[in-house]
Amino acid sequence: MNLTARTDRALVRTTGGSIRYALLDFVAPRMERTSDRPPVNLAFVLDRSGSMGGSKIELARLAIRNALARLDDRDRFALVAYDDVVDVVTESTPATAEAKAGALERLARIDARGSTNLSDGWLRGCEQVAVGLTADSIGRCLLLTDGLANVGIKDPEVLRTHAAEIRARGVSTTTFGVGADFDELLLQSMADAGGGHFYYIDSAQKITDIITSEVGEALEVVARDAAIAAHTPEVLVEQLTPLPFERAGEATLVALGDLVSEQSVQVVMKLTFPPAQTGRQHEVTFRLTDRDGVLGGASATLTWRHAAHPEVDAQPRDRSVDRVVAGLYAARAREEAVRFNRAGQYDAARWALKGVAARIGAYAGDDTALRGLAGQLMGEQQLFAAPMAAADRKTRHFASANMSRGRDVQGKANRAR
Amino acid sequence: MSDTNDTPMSLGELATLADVTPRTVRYYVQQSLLPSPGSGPRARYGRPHLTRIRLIKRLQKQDVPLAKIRSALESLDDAGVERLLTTLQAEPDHTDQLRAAMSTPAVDYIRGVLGGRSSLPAPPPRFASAPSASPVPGAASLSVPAHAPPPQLTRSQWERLPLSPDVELHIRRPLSRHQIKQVDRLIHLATKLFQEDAP
Repeated sequence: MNLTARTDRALVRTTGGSIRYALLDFVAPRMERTSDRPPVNLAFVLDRSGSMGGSKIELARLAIRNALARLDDRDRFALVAYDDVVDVVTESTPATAEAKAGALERLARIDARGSTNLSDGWLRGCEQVAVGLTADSIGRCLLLTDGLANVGIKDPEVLRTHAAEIRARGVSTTTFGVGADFDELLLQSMADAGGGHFYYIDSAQKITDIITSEVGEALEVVARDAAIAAHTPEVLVEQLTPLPFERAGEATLVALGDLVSEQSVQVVMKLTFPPAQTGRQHEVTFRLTDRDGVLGGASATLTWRHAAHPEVDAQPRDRSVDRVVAGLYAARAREEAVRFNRAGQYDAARWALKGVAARIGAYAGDDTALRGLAGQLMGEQQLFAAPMAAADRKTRHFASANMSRGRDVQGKANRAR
Repeated sequence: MSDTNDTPMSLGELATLADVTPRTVRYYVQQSLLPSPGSGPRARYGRPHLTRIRLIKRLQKQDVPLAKIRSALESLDDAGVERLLTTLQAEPDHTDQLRAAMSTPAVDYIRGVLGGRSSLPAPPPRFASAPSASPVPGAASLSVPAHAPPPQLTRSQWERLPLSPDVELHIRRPLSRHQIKQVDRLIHLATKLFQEDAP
């Protein structure tokens, strides 16, 4: 395990308020033998409301069939279908050949009808996972929907809170949004708070691939509940990535969720320094932790030193850190711009992009990558300044959300292999 | 970690950095919890003093008696003190998270939400007198999950927890960790009690 830490600049001002970024990088260990993997405990929650009719529900059935084929006796699964009523099609059961065959038979009879009680369908799925949850397993509820929650709990904040609470109790939530009519912000926030992933599936043909991939990731988890912890007395720490983040006294914790074999992880923390005399140093040690100690507590240390203004002004910058930081700010600005655009606040959408473009431009110097990024953001302003097609908005949201969460363009884990 | 970057500090600077009073620092030195800084106004403190005070504070928070802390410190060199401090402060508290989860397991939490037809933190008016038709979700929302974002409660608010269809518990938040545990136990007991008596 090798954790590396870099900063954009190592000197900070004596007058306080200097902001620096710490870029942390590591690759999760490789899963050597799949026979050693932790058991997974999944619930598939399928939206069967009217709009899912036709190829969508057919492909979803196929996706679940493929996913079940990858599970074996040590795993568990459950199947829930919902419209305005919730059917637990198959109660949580060990994934034996008979159980899988029985579930597929019942699955074939699920057809689209009715309206969308997303919350109860999802909660029933979580409940099924929770019933068979053991200390060593990976519990995940997979929610596939193409619509808005119009029955049951509809408030996104409430759903988000429940997702976080359920996550803290061992069941994470992954969401799949199909087509153009679901609420990407709701599904994204449930997945963020729920410690899982959000996927935008723009065409039904991709349902199978994406669900199979998410289940495959669950089968390749090498470290559960991974986190980066830092002991940061005196320094104010914030973070740029939208991962769950906690400060407790002098400790700062960024939750990374479950890591899959050879997953490449990059996290950026923003540090604000207090005033101090010239020569004072701040040493910050970052440590990797996880529930089972697989990551071996790898650590890396960065040191910042207070110096006089001329020295601070003249110091070199690590452009590789600048580029990652700028990329994250840009992704965040785009995510915000989508949110404003959705709400019809077109000026705000433009300002979000313009403001970040100006900031990046200010420190870009002659770095072509940074100047290019600032230019792109400026150019995108016009796109967000008018109503946008739902599918377009979802594509843009998904692209920037993946970027800021360190996932690839399809929402899958970045792998070092 | 090394002490090569050690900048000597005065008593006042050390006390400010460590967030204790100068008197506490002197007391610790007198109790041999800290190495002697030399005497008089020329007394100089360094990083080993700072990390030791932080470790003492941390251990005291865990109710470790000072005598025990002293013997622990005697057996540690500077690097050992740093390591212990980092471990104590930066380790995510998985045991705490587990405890939170144990007090209301996932199943109970989810069933609470499904059963309660919940519309969450609609903070009821202070001392709500009439029972309201909109119940709040289960007890679980009281326990703070280790990975949840920090709570942003700046003022206190009342939360109402239904224990049975006819009985509610009113809680003013925020609560201390200790109180949260007590309330969790109370809810656990109450839930059992009302289930027993259910017709």
